Amino acid sequence: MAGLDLLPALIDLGAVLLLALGIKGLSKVSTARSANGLAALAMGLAVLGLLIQQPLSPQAWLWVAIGTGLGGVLGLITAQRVPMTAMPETVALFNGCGGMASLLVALGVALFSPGEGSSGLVEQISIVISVFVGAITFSGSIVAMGKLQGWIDTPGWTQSTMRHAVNISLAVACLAGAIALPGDMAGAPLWVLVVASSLLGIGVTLPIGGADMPVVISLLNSYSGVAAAAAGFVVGSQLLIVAGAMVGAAGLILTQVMCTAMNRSLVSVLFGGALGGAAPVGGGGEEAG
Amino acid sequence: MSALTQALWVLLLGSLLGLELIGKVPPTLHTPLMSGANAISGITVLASLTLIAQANDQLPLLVLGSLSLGFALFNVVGGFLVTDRMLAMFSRKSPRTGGTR
Repeated sequence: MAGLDLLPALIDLGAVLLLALGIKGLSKVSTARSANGLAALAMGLAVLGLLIQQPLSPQAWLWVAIGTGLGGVLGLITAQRVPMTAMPETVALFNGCGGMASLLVALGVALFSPGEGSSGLVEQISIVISVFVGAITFSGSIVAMGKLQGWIDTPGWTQSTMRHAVNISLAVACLAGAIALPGDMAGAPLWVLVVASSLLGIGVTLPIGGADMPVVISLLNSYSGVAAAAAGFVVGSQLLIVAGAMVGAAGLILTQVMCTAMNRSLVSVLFGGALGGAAPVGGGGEEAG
Repeated sequence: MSALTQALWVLLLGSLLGLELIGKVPPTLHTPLMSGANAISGITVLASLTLIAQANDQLPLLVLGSLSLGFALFNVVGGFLVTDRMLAMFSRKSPRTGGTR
């Protein structure tokens, strides 16, 4: 009994350690490539540990296989086909899908509440955060990708102060949905929250210019870490909480570092040139080199 | 210690660790690091798998879990591979000088 409990715990600890070493190694040129492999290994370990802890029924395995097949193959193809010059938008696409995954898990728990059924306040708050941040990450990342690809123009109204009014009303709608959610877990408030958060993600990303996009993608990447941590609270996985928190915090630091490198402040990136600040340094989008 | 307190401690310590992990990052590594961190944020596969495991064979939960797993794995697999492709470009040049930018 004790041995059975200990093994997955040790695997989880090993995975956290490798993830941390991976993030650390990725910030140095000489170690970056092996660190990336280390992080991938950690991810495999984490999945292994979870499968030991939570045995799956045959039917569950079937659905795991379907999801794995679709996501894995599409990821493989996308990663190989995409041209080197399109890296920031590719990262944005992947990142958005990570946010969508957290959103879907929270939706599943809210709509069908598996497990014990009695949902406490903590679970409700986690669901709200997971849906809110996940939806913003998804729609924001897709807009970021569209702008970098040149599929989406910047509409004129987004350059006026009107956008602040639009975004604030969307945020208020999110808040209203969040407050009403505990009374009616699977009803209208949930969908208000989903729709308003998605629109808010579009509303805050759309006004930002292409040169600043890598910074925005980095910030959205940080958000997807937060969404993962919230999903960790929803399903009760400590490994997920710690990994999500790590990525969320590290992503925030990286965003700051990228802003500094571009000689911009985060505030001027997020709220536009109207607040002043230096002109964007050219070539920010081509850093992938 | 209740499960919640424990989870909050984990959240706090994880965040502090994340804040400390990255110090100086050379500009050439900004995009690869962002991409690598993005792949790691796909760790939400664990949430998808847990949802499937706890679905008790209810079809809607299995479908949602599977869909979520697909999105998350797209993030993980694509993220790590794309990061590796970017970093592979460094190894051809001298590691000391890194990129030309």
